Amino acid sequence: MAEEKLFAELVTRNILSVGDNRLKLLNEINISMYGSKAWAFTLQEIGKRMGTDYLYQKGYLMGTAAAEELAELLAKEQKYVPKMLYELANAIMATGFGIVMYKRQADLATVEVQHNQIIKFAKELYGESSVVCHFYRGVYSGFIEVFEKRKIALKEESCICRGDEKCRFSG
Amino acid sequence: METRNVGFQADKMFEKYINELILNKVFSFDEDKILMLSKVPFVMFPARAMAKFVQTTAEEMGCENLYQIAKQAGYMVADEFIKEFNWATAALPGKMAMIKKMFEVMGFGNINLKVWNAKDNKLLVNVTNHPVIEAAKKLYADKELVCPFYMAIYSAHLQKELGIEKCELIETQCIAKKALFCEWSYNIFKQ
Repeated sequence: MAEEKLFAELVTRNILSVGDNRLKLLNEINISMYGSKAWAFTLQEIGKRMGTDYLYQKGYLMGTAAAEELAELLAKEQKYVPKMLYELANAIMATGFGIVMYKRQADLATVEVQHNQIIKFAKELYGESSVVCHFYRGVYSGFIEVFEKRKIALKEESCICRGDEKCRFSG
Repeated sequence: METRNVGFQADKMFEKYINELILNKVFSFDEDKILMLSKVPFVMFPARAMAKFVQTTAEEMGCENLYQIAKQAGYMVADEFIKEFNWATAALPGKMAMIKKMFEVMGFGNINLKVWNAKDNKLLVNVTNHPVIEAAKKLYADKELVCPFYMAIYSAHLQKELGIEKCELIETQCIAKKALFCEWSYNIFKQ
């Protein structure tokens, strides 16, 4: 489970640092930033034009790519990597996809979103019409597949854009 | 020889100091948000994942469609900058070194303004050290479609913040096509 302050602690623990004039994760993975409201807009527009299944696939692609890059590095640098990054929720947070709580009971995986600024902005901008959560459903499915080596397509159970307290995905 | 080593170490220490300063002063962290200068929220992604997202989306929905979305997104962030930091054309020259460094660290590349002529509406910019474009070059070589996405974002910012009217950058050189840097221009045509 990711603690809320861990994101700031990435900097103090030197997991997130600046080198060669770039923001880097573990001194290796190049990081790129994007305006948060602009990202909510970008996802909403892509989802509106191409459909929610397409947006899920884009999230899955990005989640898988981020998880694979991190997993490759973790496998290579085991001695020097903080143990926290081997936990799925912390890996999701460290790569910028929000703060989640991850539970696994037998074959049932559940992801509950604790903080995701993009989903919050999507709710503010689009309310119930937001399709942005489908992207994150794909991202989290991709992370579970890479970290747990099993095929999964999470389904949405609740959504803050539709008035629920939290977004929750399971599969 | 020893002097050079000491100098090298001092340079490294200074660089480390500047880097820590950037992380601690330019960015603040609030829950899962990175706030630029404590005001404008940003999200971060691994650059390689971002390159795959942009490339496949451009291939599937069309480069021009994605360009238009990226341009609107660029306008949104430019408006936030203008509102929060008062980054209008007149205020920018004195702050340009700081802005350049900040944007480079944020993953928008090292921006070198070769020509900035708001009066005649002309602009020429070189971009190097862009992590997403470099990832796209490695993954897709000269088939990469990531540059137009960032050209759209730059066009929006250059229009809003540097006063280049109706700015639509065009690519004149590209690192994915073996140039040393990406070069984007508006209203400048070489003989």
